[in-house]
Amino acid sequence: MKLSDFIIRRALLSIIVLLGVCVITFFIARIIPANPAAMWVGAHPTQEQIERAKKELGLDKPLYIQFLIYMNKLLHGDLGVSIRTHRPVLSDILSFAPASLELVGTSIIIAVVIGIPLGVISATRKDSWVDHLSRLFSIGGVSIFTPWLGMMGQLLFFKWLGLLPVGDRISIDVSIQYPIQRITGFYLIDSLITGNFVAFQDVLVHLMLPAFVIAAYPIGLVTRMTRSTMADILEEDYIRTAKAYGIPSRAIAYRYALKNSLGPTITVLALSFAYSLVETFLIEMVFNWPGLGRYAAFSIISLDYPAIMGVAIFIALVYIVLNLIVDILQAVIDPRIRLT
Amino acid sequence: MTELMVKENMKSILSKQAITKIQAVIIAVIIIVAAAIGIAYFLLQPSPGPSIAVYAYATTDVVVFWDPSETYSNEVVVFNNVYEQLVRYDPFQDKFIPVLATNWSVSDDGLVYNFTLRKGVKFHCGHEMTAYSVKYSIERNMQGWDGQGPRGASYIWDPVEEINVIDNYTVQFVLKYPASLLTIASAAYCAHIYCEQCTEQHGHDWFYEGHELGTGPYMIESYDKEKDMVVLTKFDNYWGGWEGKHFDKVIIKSVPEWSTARMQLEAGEVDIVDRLPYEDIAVLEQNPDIEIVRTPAYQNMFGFFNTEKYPLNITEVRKAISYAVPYDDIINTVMSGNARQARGPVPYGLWGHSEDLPQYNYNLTKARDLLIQAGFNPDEQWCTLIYTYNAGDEYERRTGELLKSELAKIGINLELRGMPWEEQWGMAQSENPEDRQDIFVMYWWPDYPDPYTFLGPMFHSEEEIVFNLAYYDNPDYDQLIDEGFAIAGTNRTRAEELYIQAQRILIEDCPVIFFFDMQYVRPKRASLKGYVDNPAYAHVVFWYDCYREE
Repeated sequence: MKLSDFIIRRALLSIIVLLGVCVITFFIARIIPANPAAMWVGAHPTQEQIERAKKELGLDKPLYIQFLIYMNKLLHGDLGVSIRTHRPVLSDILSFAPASLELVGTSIIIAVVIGIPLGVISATRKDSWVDHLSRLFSIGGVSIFTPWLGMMGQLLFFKWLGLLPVGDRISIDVSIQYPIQRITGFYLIDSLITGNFVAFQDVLVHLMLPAFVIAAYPIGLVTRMTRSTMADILEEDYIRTAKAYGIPSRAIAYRYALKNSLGPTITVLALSFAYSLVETFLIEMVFNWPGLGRYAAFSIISLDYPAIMGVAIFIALVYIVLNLIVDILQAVIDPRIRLT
Repeated sequence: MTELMVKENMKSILSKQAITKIQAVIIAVIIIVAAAIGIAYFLLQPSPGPSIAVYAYATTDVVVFWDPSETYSNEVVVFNNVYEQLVRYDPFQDKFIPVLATNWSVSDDGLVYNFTLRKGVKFHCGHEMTAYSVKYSIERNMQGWDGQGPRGASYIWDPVEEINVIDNYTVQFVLKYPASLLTIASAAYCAHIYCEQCTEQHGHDWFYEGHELGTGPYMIESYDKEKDMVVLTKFDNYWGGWEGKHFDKVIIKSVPEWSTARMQLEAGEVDIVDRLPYEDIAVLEQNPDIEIVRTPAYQNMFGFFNTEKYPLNITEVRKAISYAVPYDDIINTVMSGNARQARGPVPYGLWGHSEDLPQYNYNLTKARDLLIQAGFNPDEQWCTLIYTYNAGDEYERRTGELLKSELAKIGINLELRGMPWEEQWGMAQSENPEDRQDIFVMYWWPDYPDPYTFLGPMFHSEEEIVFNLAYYDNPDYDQLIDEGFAIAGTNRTRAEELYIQAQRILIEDCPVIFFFDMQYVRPKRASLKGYVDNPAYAHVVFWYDCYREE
């Protein structure tokens, strides 16, 4: 199938998925007994204020009409207004998403840079002490409770050694004296583009601890996957043939075996990325990181249904786009796979 | 064959270089990161400059409502530095402090108030504050910015009939019914005076872009919603002047994770945190750089009995439970001693509170006797009660656990249910009393420092269920407190008598468990001076009074 046909087919399927997400989250959020109108008004609302808020929020209409109104607004790019923050949900998501994307993106890069060589070494020196150590390390990374790891990191690197900051994306003084001009919302990129090197270095330092802590899980994942898929491939006949030809083992490992084993690893990494965008909310709490995870968690706790739906749709979109990219990448890497 | 081998060898040599390229990249990244950490360690100091203060605030969303006519949430912490009221209330001296009003008088019937305004007060936009500003601000609060009725806490202005400008610096309030207008004018919410000209020009939405029109000592320099942080900077033309030591800038930021806030306080990155768990307070007390400030708060905790559902519709049962509550245990273990047992619904430190009012004390024998009197057998389990609390609130939960073990001794099985506030409140408002909880636990705090704000919303009979979550309906009680409210502006002593009489009835009828009156416990750097915790302005630090001294 041609690439363009494939993308069109995928896009149509995605619309069905998004519609399903909308319907399910909308009706689940409404089934729970709650009074969003009261939360909208403030601390100790009077009955009249609650009634008025109900009309303003459109909560006095029947449920299916509310759903249709919501879908209509959605098609015009309006995700509604958050009941908790009183701001448009879209603008909230656009301000918090880059923080999460930057953090999780950095952690994935760290995971790849550390995990793949580790997995390769593990696979090529199978059952040696290096292999056992890295397997222990990867299981540790996958099993450890990362918020705890984050707190231990804060204790060690902030409180005892004074090397790294305790949290936030940027120091208060730097944000006042060298403010970053917002272009993309990614502080690393924005500060580099505008030549704000003081801020760049400050942001990098703030990224270190949370990014490494979040990377624990994908490092473990990547190491394991690379190791097991490579170990299988290294048993294959064509590898034995290459060895027979005298091709150095380094070349065999990285040029031939790794490329073939990357496929499943990339898929898993992409899913881990999408999952981490919201799942890391505890780490965002620990490091006071203004990300999507925290926003989603607070929205859920306060039953802020426009925000909950906004986040659900956004994450669904991320998954859809990522899956699309991964499938295309697979076809590029492995000519045996044909897009269907 | 040899040609193939040569080609392969060439390829392998190149791929060796390719591998070293990857290694080179990795090494370069490591060097950059190490250099960044190294520079940061030496270049950047942890504490903010000498004239910048930092306040770490435990909830999210430092500012929710930007329009001063509808404030009702966390922004009160920011706005009471940026905006000012006519007067402020000092509970320690039980006096009203002149702020934007320098003098005032009340008519004998309590229906007309005349305020003399301070001259030469400028708004941050440059315009002067006059009687027109006061009339405009309060009328706009009362009508709502969209004319659809008061929003936020603006309902407090309900007693006002009309506002008249006598001259540029004299403004007159005429009331529909007598009320304590001074208390209302001193409220932390919705009592701020703002510039009428700029509001007319820009409108409601302009406020939400992050603008403010106050007269206060600090202006909002910036609001970063991502970092959930407000930067305040000093207003050079503030009427109070800037003699003496003051902060040039104040940063108010949200740090919801207490362990992070604590570490920042200990490192000196933060000057004051509004609250921390009591276990951390106990450790911080040993730290010579940290001071703990304790003040009785106007905040207390209640357990509302569902008086419309069996068996709590029986007074003896409610009293029996009140005698089974382990008050001292709760205060010592749950609140670490940072509370005192409540005596009626009005908290300690607020007028209207009386130490002569009766109190239920932990007495299992009395509890058992009352149950037997009501015809129940306390030696076997005879009922199950549902106790609902706000999920995540450790104090409410632990109190429930202590209560559960005591109630088991008199045959009651207490089922604890933590829920999000919306759900908990929703359940309490169910049509059918049988669908509701048995004991509803929540805190209360006032909109302005007046006992009516405790006696009215929670216990006055209601047509629709809002906050009277014991569903208490006593016309005698209603009459007493309504009379007290009317007379509080002119005859405070008489009002207090009526309120105390009403509380006697309430305590006797026992529709709630009066758990405890809380204390605010604020950890701050010892170098931060001038801070006084005013319970009438909960969690507000008046930064104009503060400075740092090493």
